[in-house]
Amino acid sequence: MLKRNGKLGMTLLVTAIMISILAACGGNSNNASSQEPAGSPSAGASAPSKKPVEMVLATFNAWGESEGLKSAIAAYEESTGNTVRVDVYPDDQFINILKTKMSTNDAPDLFMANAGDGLIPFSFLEPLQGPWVDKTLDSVKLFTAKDGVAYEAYAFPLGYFGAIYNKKVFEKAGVKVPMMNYAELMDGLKKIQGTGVTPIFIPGKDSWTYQMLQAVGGVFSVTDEDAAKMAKNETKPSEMPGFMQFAERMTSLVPYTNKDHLSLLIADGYQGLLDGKYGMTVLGDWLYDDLAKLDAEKVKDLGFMPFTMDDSKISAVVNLSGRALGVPLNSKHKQEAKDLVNYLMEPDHFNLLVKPVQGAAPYKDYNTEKSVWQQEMDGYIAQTGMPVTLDVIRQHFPTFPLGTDAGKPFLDIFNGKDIKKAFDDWYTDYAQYNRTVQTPGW
Amino acid sequence: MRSKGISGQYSVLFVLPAFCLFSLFFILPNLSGLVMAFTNWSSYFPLHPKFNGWRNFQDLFESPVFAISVRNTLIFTAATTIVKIVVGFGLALILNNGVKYKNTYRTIIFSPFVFNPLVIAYVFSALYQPTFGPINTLLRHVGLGFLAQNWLTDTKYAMTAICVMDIWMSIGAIVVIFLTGLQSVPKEYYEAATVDGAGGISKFRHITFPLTIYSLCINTILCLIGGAKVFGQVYGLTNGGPADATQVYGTFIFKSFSSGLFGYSAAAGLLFTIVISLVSFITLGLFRRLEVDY
Amino acid sequence: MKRTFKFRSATWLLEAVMVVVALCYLMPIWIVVVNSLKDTLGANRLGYSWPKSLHFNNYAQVFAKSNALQGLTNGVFIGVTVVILAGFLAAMAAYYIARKGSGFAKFTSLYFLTGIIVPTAIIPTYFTMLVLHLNNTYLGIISIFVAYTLPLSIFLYTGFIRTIPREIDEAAIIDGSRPIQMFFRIVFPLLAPVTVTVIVFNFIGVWNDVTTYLYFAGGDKWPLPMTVFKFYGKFSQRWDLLFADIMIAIIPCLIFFVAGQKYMVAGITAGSVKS
Repeated sequence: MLKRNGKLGMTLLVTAIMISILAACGGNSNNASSQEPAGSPSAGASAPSKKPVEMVLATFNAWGESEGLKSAIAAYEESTGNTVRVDVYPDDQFINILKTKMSTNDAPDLFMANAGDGLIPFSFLEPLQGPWVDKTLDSVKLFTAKDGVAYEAYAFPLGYFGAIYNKKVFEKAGVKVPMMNYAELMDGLKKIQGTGVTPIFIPGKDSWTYQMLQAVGGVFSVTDEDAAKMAKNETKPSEMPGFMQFAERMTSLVPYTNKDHLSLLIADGYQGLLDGKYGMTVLGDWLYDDLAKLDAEKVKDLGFMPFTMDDSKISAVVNLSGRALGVPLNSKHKQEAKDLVNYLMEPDHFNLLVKPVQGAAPYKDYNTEKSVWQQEMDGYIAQTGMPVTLDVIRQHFPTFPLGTDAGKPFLDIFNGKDIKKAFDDWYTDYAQYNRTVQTPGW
Repeated sequence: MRSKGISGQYSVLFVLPAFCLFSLFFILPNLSGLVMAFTNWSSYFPLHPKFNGWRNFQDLFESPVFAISVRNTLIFTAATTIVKIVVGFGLALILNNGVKYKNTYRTIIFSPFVFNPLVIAYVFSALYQPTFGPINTLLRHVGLGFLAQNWLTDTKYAMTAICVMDIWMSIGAIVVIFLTGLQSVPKEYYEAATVDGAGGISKFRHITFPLTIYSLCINTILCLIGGAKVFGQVYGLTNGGPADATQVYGTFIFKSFSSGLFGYSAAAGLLFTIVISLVSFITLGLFRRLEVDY
Repeated sequence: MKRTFKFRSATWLLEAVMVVVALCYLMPIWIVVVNSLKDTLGANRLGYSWPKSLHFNNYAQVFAKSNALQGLTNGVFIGVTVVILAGFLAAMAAYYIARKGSGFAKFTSLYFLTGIIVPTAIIPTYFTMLVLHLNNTYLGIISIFVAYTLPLSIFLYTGFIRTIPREIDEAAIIDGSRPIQMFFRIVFPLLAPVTVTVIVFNFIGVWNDVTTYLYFAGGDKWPLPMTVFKFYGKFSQRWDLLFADIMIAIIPCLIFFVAGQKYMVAGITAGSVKS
């Protein structure tokens, strides 16, 4: 037993000293890395006599670390003297925390989330004006504007959803790309499995990756009329032949998928794709930069192609789910936030912001580069004349909310749950959601 | 004069601050929960909640995830309570019976009490790591490699993994309470029984067990309520996954809350309050009947 | 040692069992300590071995990248404030309940008892905080914690005060001091043992709480252990940093524990022994 006072006092003292030393070390390195060169002339500055404002930008945990965001904000801070603090939240909670904050007067000054009224209702946001608004491409305007008013600023290059594949694996198995329909797809998967490689990689810890299969491969599985009826509660997925057939085809993919799909995150599959352990994965071309960072040589073995599970139709699916900036109605520094948005949307700053992701710009006449993969996709489009569409959800349900977890039914089906039951449970979930949100007709 | 002085000494003002604070932040919410559970309050219309009768409860009972979370919570509570009580009592008996360094062992077993459940969950997620984690590595070392599983990502074993972690965390307090109960049994009883020629098992049945009923009662209630309320550790370790295999009541309420469905979560919370209070009262009543006075 | 059970087998079997049990508890801590000092690749192997070189700069990195310092100050600030407030309010309330036999005193005794049995209604509390504009404020979080810790503290204090003879009160009354002075100068010091237990318990409860911070406070008000949560999200593949962060989060608790262990055990058993 301790001789209490003496030993206790010593222990506390030593610990206190150690903690303060470590904190000082940490604190010092923090300071060193964020030293801006003092006294540099501000470029295009607003009136230097204005008091510097501190703003809060809220975004996902993962996005807050992106170097593009950090360097663009640093440039802004240098030119105006305002500071921007980036608050990050866990990926699976950010959207709900943001909505709660906006409705309880605790809103950040601005935020960065996925574009679209269905995700963050525009009724919470300030209308935005700026030179970039008119330059927005029409397809992008579908998701950033409503009734002619812009509410969000698309802050991401345009790219594609599709399949990242390992060229060497496909060559060795003798599979021709792109696989133009379901029959060719199954044939290709079988051949690849014959060579001892896992044909499809699914990182299923985030349930939306299962949904990608339908988003990209099931573009034609839902007709416009069926979708309209579903949104009005006149039918449900288990009664729609398109959904049911797609679900069955999805289960036929199970034997060709990695067995531990339930437990992996996207990043867990990078090495496997590069090394040729996996044949392909259905995600999007924004991952090019992550993979290139991991292995700049082997990334050249990877390509990008369209993906379909339809009997005959295939399309190149454009990714319009990218990042967008928005200013809440009860933002505490509305004007400065809007100015920050305009600053970031200037062509040069836009390039800084989206680095290192490449792709076509969402605004006319902005100079951006397309990545290798996007060029490959453009090649396939030219070669086969396939249509360019949105993913199945944005195409048919641009504003209809599909419940609290739209990927869950697909996750469950993939894991062996009865298809009808999975879709009915999904219906129960989004029915309740729509009732709460008071969508007309529910 | 005297009596006025004395009762004046104990003025109501002493209890008023605590009373008000407690009423405002505990009693009032519980009461308003009664109301809130019957509205469709959500983060979309935060200032316009509307009554929707039994709709929330109907949704709860129709929701497959809710049914799963109730079932999981029941399994979790039952399993952990039984193991904690039986093993805890056993450990307390061992400690009470003359092992050396009894206090050291007690300290070691009790130490997880001071750690944050989230922190413990992260440590365990390292332990449970399938390829490199110490648990699987150890199993492989001693030739039990076939027992090594994907503890956290296989739907069959995730619940077991969570139960083991919870037992590890909380058994210390149980052992301490049992020890105290055991130590309060007068030694003379045992000595008298030995003189009478009673064997070990008989002593247990007639002396040890009846006189430690009070600690047994407290421990049971603690385990039951703790098991039902479990949240932090599950949230940190698996967050209800994989595929709802470890979704418990606490994580269900948090999930609904995070989706912005406040009225719905309030309904789930109300159900919880009612059931737990009932269980506590019933358990207390049951044990009261079994108590033995000495 | 008193033998209350006669075991045929030697006591060494029991000792062996206890050693195994103790190892089960020490092993995780060892893993954390050892791996917090390794480099990233080594740490990701999650092994038992002692590190080849001691990477103390892991800790420095953690301090830089996580908000460990902010977490520490938050935790200490919130913890100390709650403990002081709850201690005084509970002692005063318990004094009233234990001494005054009136109807209201009995009522409040039961009133606070419900706080121990009935679980907290989190969502309605969220609404209350919303209405009072206390969400994500220090005042709000402290008030909630005090309200949550009051029931158990009052219970412990009441039990103890009942053992203090009334003559002490009466002696003080003759002195002519005002009630509140009398309480603080004479009765409160006598409550020292329970006060220490209550302090230890409440501080640990506030420091280690998860649910309350998740619902009612934003990330900038989280105490040290919760910053591990944020850290985990960002650096899930860097076990060396993670373990270092966990070590930083555990060490204050461990110190508290070693010093205050006696009082913690006393507190737990205070309610569990028939008085």
